Amino acid sequence: MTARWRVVMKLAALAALVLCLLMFSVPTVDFVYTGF
Amino acid sequence: MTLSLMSPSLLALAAVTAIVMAALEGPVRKVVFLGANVVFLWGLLLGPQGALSTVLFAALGYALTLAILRRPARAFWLGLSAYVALFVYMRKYDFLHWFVSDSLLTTTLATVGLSFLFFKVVHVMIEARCGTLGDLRLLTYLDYTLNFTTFMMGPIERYQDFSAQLEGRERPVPTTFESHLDALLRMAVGFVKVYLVAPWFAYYLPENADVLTMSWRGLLVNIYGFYFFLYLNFAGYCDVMIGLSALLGLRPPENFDKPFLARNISDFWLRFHRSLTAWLTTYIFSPAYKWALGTRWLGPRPLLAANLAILLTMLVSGLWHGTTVSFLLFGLIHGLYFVVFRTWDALLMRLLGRQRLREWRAWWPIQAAGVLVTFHAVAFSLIFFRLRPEAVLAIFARLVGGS
Repeated sequence: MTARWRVVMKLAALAALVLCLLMFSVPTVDFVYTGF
Repeated sequence: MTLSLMSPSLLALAAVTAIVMAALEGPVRKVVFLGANVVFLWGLLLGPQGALSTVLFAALGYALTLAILRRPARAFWLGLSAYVALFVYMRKYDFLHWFVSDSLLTTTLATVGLSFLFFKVVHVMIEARCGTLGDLRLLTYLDYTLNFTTFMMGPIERYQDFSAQLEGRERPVPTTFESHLDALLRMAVGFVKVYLVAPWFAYYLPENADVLTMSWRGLLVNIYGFYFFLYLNFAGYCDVMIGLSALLGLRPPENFDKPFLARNISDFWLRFHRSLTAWLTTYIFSPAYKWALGTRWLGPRPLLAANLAILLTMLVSGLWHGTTVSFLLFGLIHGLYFVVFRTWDALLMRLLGRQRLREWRAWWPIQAAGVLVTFHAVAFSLIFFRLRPEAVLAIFARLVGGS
């Protein structure tokens, strides 16, 4: 895989993840490890 | 606590800090980073009172470390004891009610992130005592202790590594387009874990009252569900923060390495919250084990010495994790897991010898059984994170009674 192709793949993966987050994420999750 | 890692204000702060820091060199870079840290603590996480108490707590650590650097032998134990006492007070441990009247116990000081900050400062104090800290500079120290990328939940990094990266003596992240893309991808993967996958398991957080009436199947699903939720919540946070750090030219240590594949309890702690394990091993287990081996009674009994040292280490770990008796029991149960595992391992070594034991460990059914047992042992121990001791006892009673 060439460097340019690898970057394209990573950009596509990033776009897909951001799209999933925009569509399905639940933004009100508590962080449970900050101190119980 | 509910600060969203995807909030526009946090993402804007991260983006501006990354851009400005990339354009700067030298001490001004540290000033900009300190500004970002204060904005985060004051404006996004703790508010003025919490931020002020946190900065003062960190500043006291700096003053004590300076004293230790000047007079290591005299100042160390005094400084460390005072700092531990202040941490216990600020953290509001449950047992304080036995010794201190309620009117003296404050609820206005910051507690979020305090355990992580405390371990970072104690690390600096111990390294100063040992003469291995290197140069202590106020700006670097404040950036290290208040670092907004690792403040809330780690990873717990070493001062020496952080200062080398912040001051530009080490460049752990190349400044290429692809490395920035990797950092953004890492953040996106973390967001997916925290905000997309973990919420599926958020329905499975057992409550104290529910465990008494829940069906067997429901109980097990809740116990496994909480383990998955905790991992995704914590590991996702670490992914986001490691990616964000990379955008700033920093690289905190990795914190997770497929913990569900751990083959024994020792392997588990080398895969789960690894930076905490490294801290505890360096500053609790190793000195305690070394001390025990130096005593007349434990010196000839290395297995017993190691078991006592690991029990102490895990009790400290339990107390660090939370303020109630449940967390002490969490530490104790992990200590007992270690004792059973190490004793079993020593017994096998005696029975089989080194070569056959190595073959035994490499045999796949043994590895699979190890993964299964470790997974269940950890999942059941994590109920102490969520439930009061009475509720945990009720679960174990149901397990034993089969009802």
